[in-house]
Amino acid sequence: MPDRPAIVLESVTKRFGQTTAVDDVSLQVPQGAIYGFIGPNGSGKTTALRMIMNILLPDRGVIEVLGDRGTSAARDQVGYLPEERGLYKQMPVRRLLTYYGQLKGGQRAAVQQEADGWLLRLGLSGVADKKVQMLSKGMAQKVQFIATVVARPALVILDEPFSGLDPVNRDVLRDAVLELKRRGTTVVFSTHDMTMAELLCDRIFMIFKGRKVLDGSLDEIQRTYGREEVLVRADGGAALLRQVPGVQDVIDHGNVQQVRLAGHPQAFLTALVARTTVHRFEITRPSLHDIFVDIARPAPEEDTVPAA
Amino acid sequence: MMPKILIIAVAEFEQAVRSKAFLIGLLALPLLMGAAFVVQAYGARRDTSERRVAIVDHTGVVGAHLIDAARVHNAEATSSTGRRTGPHFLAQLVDPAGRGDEDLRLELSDRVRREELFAFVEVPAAVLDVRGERPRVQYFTEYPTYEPLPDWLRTEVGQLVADQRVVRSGGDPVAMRALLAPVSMDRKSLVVRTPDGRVSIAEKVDVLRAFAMPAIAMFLLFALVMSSAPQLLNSVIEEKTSRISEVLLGSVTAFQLMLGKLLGSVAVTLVLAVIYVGGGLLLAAQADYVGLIRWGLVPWFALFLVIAVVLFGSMFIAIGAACSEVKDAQGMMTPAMLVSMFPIFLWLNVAQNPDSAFSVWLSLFPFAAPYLMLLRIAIPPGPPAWQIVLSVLGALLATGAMVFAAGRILRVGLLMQGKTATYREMARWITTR
Repeated sequence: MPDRPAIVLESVTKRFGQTTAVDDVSLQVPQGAIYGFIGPNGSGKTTALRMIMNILLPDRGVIEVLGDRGTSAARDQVGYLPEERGLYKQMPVRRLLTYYGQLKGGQRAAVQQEADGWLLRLGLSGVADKKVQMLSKGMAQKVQFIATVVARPALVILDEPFSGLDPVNRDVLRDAVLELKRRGTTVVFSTHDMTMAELLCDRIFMIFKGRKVLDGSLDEIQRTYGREEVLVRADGGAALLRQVPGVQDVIDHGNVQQVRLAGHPQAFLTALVARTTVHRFEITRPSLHDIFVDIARPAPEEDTVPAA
Repeated sequence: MMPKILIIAVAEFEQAVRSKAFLIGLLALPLLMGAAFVVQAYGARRDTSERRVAIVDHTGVVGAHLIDAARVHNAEATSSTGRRTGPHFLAQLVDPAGRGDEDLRLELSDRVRREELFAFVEVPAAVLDVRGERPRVQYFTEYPTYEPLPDWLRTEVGQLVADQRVVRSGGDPVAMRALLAPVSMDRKSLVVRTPDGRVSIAEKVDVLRAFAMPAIAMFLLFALVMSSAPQLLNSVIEEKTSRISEVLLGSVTAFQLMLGKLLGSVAVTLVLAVIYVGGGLLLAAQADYVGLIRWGLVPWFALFLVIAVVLFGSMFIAIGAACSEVKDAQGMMTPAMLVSMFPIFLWLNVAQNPDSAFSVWLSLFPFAAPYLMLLRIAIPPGPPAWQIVLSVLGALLATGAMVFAAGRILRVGLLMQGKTATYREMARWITTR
């Protein structure tokens, strides 16, 4: 079934006591896509991912993973990198990777070969026989990533894979994710890093307070949530711009003004050119970051809600 | 399902056997036992102190006798090279010289406090009386737990006083001692008719030896279980605190994880058992104690070992799953430790009276069955078959229930972070699907 989505959630709800962690969420993750889960802390991301992993069971709704409904039959085909890293500190790296790979049903020899390939690619060959507790945080995180993919899963779920990594390792891991995509692996990852999500994801899903608020490609999302906004540098500056019809708001950045429009940019440009000399005119789209912040202006206390 | 359990078991086994703790643990038990033995033997022999004792003698005969007896004792406690082999007693007579009892006692007490004396005794004149209520000898010391000196005094004074009483009643002390010599008794096992038609000669039973084999078997079982089952608690807590549990649960079910761990533990204890039991048998053969070994006990030992490791192991897994930190586990451990150790406190009662109602009921109780039923089987003639069957069935049933409950608790507990569950919550986890 090549066209069957890798993951389907239908009206899934999960409650913990009084709190509803995931509230009537439906989504589809196409095969071979990189699918970004975004949302503030405590919005239900981890709970949704755990339900997809069949670690938690939904109270209501149906979850289908790789064509398998409500059982853990597909579990071996799914690699999972949890938000909190989990490695045996006393185990040497290669033995740990072999163990995790075997637990996913991998053959010992195949798993070892795959592990060595990834260790080489991620620059960890030198520590293959070192105990995990000897590794730096960045190294341990890369080892955890390898543990997730070492059994060659068809679907990989990464919970905050980039958090706590320095820029160099971030790029290394991004390349690794793109390599998975080249192999045809479906990748779902959650992140706070909007830039990374924008660059990497084919589709983006945003969950807020347990409810789905965004779902689609970046283009679709920007179109839906896009406000008409232009960056302008023109003689007369902000004072002049505010007098042009159709202007809602002007944010003065000094050398350039950010103008929020009620009407179409084309009409605004015509009106502007009639009044003054225009040095720069750029139609912008809101970044994912802006959309995220718009939707989820976190109240201070929400920062302390643990991810459930 | 099976292969994943095996993979976990193998990993657990490897991890346990490769660790330094395993090697230390392996050596620790024999080393500790050996060290305790050596220290005790050394300590017992090394009491070569000199104990000065003052004697306030109101009888006129006891004091002089004690001084002579001390000389004999000291000579016996001296090697041919002149070194002391035991404590020496230096007795000295105290002349009251008209002082009252109380003054004298105070003065001698002060001398003991100044460490000029170790102790003093008062021997009232009336101890020699043939009839009537006789007073007791009084022994004064700062060290009431020191035994050799008062033991020696009691024996010597007792013998002399008895002789004196016999003399006063007109008897011959030597003849009297011979008349009053205690009767000895041998303990023998039962006899059978041998193939050539004769009745076998009954073997003399050594009480110490009869106790030795059952006790060794039971305590070895206990040591093996205790060396592995509580480890499972640490292993589960490690997986919880370092968040490995979530990775594992992405690959296997909580139940598979637990069965794998239990299987790994059973394997580790069986290896330890083979090493200890094998070593013990080898030592027994060397020391010519082979006759003491009851080979029929080995399968029972193995069976009860597996049952106990799984029963107590799953209990400790459940506790580990409920705790979020090792230090939280301490409080939860206490009841579990009590449950797993109480049979050991009662072993002597059971060993001395293996077929009493108390022993029977206790050895049928699942948590005590592995230890106490093994003990009863080891003590001849052994319990009736129905009791063995009942205790094994009961223990198996309890083990099954414990494994089930622990699996349920593990499933919920593994993902719980930051707080330790109460027993009430654990009970709810077991009952909710």
